[in-house]
Amino acid sequence: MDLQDGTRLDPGVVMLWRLQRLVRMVMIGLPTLIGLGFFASSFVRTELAAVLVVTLIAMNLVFALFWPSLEYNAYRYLVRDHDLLVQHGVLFRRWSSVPHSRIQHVDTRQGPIERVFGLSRLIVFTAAGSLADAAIPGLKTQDAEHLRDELSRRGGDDGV
Amino acid sequence: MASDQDDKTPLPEDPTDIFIRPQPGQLEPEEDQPTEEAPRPASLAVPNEPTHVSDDQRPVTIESLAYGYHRDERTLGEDLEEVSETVGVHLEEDITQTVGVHLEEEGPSLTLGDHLEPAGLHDAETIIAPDTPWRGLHPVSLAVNLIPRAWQTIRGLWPILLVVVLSGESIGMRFVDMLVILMFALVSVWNTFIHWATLRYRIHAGRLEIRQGLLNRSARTIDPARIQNIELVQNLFHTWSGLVELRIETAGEQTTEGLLSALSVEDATELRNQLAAIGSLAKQGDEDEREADTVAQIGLTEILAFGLTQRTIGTVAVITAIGLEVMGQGGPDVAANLTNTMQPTMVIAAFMLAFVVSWTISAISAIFRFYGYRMVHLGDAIRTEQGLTTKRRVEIPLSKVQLVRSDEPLMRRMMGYGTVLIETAGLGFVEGQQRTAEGMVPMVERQDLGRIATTAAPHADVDPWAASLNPAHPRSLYRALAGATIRVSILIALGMSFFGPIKWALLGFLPIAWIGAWLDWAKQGWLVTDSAIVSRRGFFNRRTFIVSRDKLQSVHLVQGPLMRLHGLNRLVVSVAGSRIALPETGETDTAWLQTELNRSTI
Repeated sequence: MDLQDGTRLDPGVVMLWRLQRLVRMVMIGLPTLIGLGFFASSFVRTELAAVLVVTLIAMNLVFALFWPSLEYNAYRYLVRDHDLLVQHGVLFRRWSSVPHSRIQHVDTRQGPIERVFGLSRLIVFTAAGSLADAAIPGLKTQDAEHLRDELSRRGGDDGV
Repeated sequence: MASDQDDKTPLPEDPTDIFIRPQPGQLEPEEDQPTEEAPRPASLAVPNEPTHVSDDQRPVTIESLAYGYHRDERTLGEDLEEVSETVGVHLEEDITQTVGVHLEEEGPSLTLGDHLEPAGLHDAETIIAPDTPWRGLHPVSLAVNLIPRAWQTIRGLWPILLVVVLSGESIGMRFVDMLVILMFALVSVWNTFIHWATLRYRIHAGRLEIRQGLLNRSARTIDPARIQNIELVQNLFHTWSGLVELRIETAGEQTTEGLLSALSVEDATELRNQLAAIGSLAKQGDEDEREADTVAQIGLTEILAFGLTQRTIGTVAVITAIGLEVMGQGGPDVAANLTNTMQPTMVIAAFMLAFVVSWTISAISAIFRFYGYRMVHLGDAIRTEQGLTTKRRVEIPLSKVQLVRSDEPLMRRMMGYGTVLIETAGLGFVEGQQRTAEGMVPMVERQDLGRIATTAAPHADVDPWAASLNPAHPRSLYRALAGATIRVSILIALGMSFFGPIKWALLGFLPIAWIGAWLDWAKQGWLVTDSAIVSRRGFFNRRTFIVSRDKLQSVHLVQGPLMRLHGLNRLVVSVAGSRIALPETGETDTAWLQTELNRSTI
């Protein structure tokens, strides 16, 4: 079942994801947890609440540093004759096959942190809906652009 | 509003045509939301006159500010280059594939009324050449539409109305609320007026062109081959005045892409026949009516039965809530007295009353909706006709059918009936409601379900009611039971905090949930043939999905941690507009499914 012969992402994506998770943790996670700690301190002893909050923050930190490498290991993609195959997900694994003829358009996107790393996301859309049918993050920008052009060039019956 | 502007800029030939007159672009909130998927270029408009508009004359539009883009004198080719740079891949993939190009007009310009293609543009001269005259809506349609439109808006706001009527607010506050509703009604009246006054349409160079708008003008080109379905609607006012509303649905936006409200019946028929001649609709016209092959016809008793087996629980909840509110209006004492003196028998009686009321409502609305239902097969399209006061006729090209679904809720199934729904990619919001399906056969006897489903999806030549489906994997029962236990336990825990003495009786729901989960699991099924994918799920509301394999957009295989523990997978296929999940399958079946779907992929 595992897509062993698939292409892996650029290894730089692990650091990128770590950084993104850390930024998200500082911006959202920390304020929430600290607020929660203050809220909890009105029910339990202050020391206990503090220990709880610190533990949660430490877990969040470990998770932010450790999870991206698992995600990186799980992510594979493969351009085959008739379709694009993407495998991803650590706990919830998903394999997506998008036939070339059904691709409506392909996006490459880049956020500020990704730009620093020189990486881009590739997002593939079909007529199935507004949700992306397949996405490949962490490609070198020129690879992403090359893949985007390659995928969007093939035509065919789009089945709509 | 722009009279001085008019004086400065060179007016085109035809001064009666308000479209050509320049207007400083203004943004109306209702329209003009650039979507994420297809960012609309700032302007695709083509300069009309040999444009020499100096900077001070050129209107600064909100769009130009937003996009940091200012129109210059330039040739059509330059315009397109700019656009293709902005849009990149979108232009190449999207515009050709999406249905209509929606062009916004601004400044002194004529509309480029045609489809953009990457290979190059149609000869600009032929596009602008005014050889096909534009046609407007029927003059009477304004008067006919005003009242129904305003009423629809007000009806859509019924929750607010209910609050106004039932709230304990002061008269002044209620007055303010009423003013808000009145404002909405006025906006809808204004929009109706604009639609009537400014809409022009024509079929030109093989495309349907529609343009409209006063301040925020738009021109739209629809390729008849891309039409997903056409709906002709006649409410009572339309019937009396011999008009009909035409709704043309493509796969683009959520709203109806081509709304012509209203045309005379002759004009609408003519337009429909012209579109059919070019596009994918049935080539046969009304004159072939007698030869049409009736697929389904539904009598009054069956319609009543449909109403009685329709979403009862939700209606009961709403009625109960309203009933409680009305009782509350009598003053707090009355309500308190009632709750104190209420016997269990009275509670049951009240529930029964709510059920009877809700049944009556849904039976009556079913009659209004489906009276005279008939579905016919017209060559390569199907057509349904229905309605008592508001008559609807929907035409769906069979090549556009994405998904056929059959709903068999328990009660309807016990009567020996089911409902067939036919979906195209043209799903969207109609009259403020999410439309569930374009074509619907409300009551079908069980032995006919397969016949109707295969009529609607001719490429999927499998009859799920005759074929034997593969069952869900035995181990997926564990997951179903665990899921049911968790869900019901949460509900029971919540319920226990409300009910006093009888709270332990709530635990009785647990075995019921287990039986439900078992039944649900036992009735699941899937089948993949050379041409079709079938998935059946649910016991209380059994649903059967039939997808033609040549309509698949993408195939996904999903596995959660618990599923991995049990060696299970779930296959999810998507077609334009829907996603269909198959029951959970084991390793062997999954591997077979993967190779099978890879083998043929589209």
